[in-house]
Amino acid sequence: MAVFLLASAVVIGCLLMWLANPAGELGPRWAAFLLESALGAGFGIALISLLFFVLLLVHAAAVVMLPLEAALLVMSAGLLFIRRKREKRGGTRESQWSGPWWYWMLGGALAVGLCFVGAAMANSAHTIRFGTWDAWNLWNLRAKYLVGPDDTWRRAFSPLLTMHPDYPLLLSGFVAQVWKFSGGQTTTLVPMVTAMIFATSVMALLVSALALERGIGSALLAGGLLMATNSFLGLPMSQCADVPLSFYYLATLVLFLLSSADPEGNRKVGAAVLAGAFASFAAWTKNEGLVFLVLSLTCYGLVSLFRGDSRTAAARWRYALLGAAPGMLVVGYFKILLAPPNDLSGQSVAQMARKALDLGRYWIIARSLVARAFDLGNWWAHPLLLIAILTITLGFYVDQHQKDGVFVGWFSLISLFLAYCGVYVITPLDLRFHLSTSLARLYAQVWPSFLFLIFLVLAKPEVILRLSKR
Amino acid sequence: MSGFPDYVGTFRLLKTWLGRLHTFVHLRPFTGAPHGESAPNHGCCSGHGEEKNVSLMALSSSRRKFPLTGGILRRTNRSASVPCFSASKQYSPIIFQVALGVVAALSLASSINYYHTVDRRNRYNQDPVQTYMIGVEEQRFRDVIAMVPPDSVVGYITDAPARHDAHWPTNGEFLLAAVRYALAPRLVIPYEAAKKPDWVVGQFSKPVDLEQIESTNRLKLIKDLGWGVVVFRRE
Repeated sequence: MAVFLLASAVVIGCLLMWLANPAGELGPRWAAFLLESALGAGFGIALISLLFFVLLLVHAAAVVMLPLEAALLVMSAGLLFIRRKREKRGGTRESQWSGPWWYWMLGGALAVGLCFVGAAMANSAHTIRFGTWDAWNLWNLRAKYLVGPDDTWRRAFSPLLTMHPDYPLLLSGFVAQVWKFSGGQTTTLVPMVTAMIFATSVMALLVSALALERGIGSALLAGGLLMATNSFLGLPMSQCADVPLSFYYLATLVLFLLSSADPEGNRKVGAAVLAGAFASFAAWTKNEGLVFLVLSLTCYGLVSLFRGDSRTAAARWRYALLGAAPGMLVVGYFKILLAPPNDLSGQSVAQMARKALDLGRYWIIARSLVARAFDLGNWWAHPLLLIAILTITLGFYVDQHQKDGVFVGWFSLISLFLAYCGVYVITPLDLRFHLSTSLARLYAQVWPSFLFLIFLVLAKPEVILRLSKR
Repeated sequence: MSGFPDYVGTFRLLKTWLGRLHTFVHLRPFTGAPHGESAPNHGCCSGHGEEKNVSLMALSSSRRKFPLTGGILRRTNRSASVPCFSASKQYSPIIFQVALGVVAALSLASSINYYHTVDRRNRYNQDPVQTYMIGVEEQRFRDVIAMVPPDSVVGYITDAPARHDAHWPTNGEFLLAAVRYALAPRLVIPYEAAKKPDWVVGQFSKPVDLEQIESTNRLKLIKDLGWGVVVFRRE
């Protein structure tokens, strides 16, 4: 039953995403299908989590949740069926995967690498069934409270809990929903499979989005680089919320790009609405996501304003806000009316100003940033080294029609990273302790988005190789 | 500042060497081809519409000025919509293919190495102590779960220090967290912090005087479940 509920959430998301069709007529077809499926998996999980929480608030979860899920499943399948029948889609997208020999070399290396990483994850899932300290003491513990009878679900954000009771509830809510309606058994299989779904979705989304926007060569290289980032690969099976958060960051930036890089405007509205929705899902995943929601929407609005006419910019921004609105309402209600204050709050302005003027703190943060960057992978296959090799050989080139999306992505990511650093500067916790326990996870949150944006500005290997042969 | 590493100098040196490496990769200087020349369809981005007009930057002049950007494809005609790349034979395809092969091989080797690293670490993690006894606690507290209603607030007594030290949780805190997880949705909080809970669970690492605990805390022993687990009720 647990597996059925897990699968149904993913299927609902995929059906809705195939219906929304954010990839439009971009090709190749396998990449468009993979992109929409990856987005759908994350969308379905977030949607079910939000619905479950809202139904808990109105004391209707036990009665309404399962019928609602079934209705969503049937409705989205029906709508998709009708649409497909009407469209009788022709083969505008390329259907076969053909290309030069080095596609097969990169694809083969990626496939074998994925097998080894998958085996390592399965090994970890078997050994640390309950996840790491943060997973069972925070995310899965809160899921257990949400499963409980009567009003025990409110314990998920009780100030009596020692660890971050103010954190949003996307992951815990989804796991709790599956546990609750699969007989109340809190099996470790559910958070484990959820973590695996997010890890797979991040990889699928990165590869497919780049295949659509930059060609198969860039996509396969980016996938290989993600496989070489050991610090990121260690996180999915920890069952923490950092990989889901990295997925929602990446999904938002991909959709912003799809929305702004569409010269004919066919998918502008849908992609902008979905980008807003995914940004709000990030806010429902972790507190860092709240910062991302604000920054990414602001950057989207500003870039649209400066690079287009104000009417179009306002329209784009409205669509993104419209998509974010349902998620923002739930997150806002939770943060304002239910959650206790964040453990980083409660400092006076004078205290924060004193910390902000202490240059020693900046030095400690900078050293930690560099040290953790070295820990991203093995020194001999460090992802930054591999990026340097590609930068030297390929050089940079940004497609004109992708410039807006690239600007939005880089501005969002850089401002987010600066915000992270700003929090470290004024943190009330011991700075070294705070850095040592969180910085690696912050890198993991932004890493897939960083890879995506790097490959958007690197020249396409296909083009460079073709030029070199002429 | 004394002892401050010369990062600026190092960066300049690195930039110079990267520039030289880049010059080596892009072997021949740009000779200039007429703009508007059509490029063949490379088949990687058929859905994008047309490629924009670009030409390669004149490497011989720009390389000296911007050593890292010598290979950038530069737009020269923004208004034209005919797909074209104007370039000469300035790249060595072998070097690109070798670079792609190196990146693929290193990524693959890193993935294989990752599997071995995880396998080694997980052998170490099979010891329950390394994972805070989390799986074991669920078994130890199975009878408590059967006895105590799921909506109750449960006090917690232990002989392990449960106070938070400066940064890292103590062993006592790790054990409390494990009990809290095992007994959820029951809310387990330290007895002194709980406001007169009906149920109290004791977890002890060595034999203790239960009668004294009963009288000190005004509790009534319900059951000693063994393994250092005891259930009380408030009198």
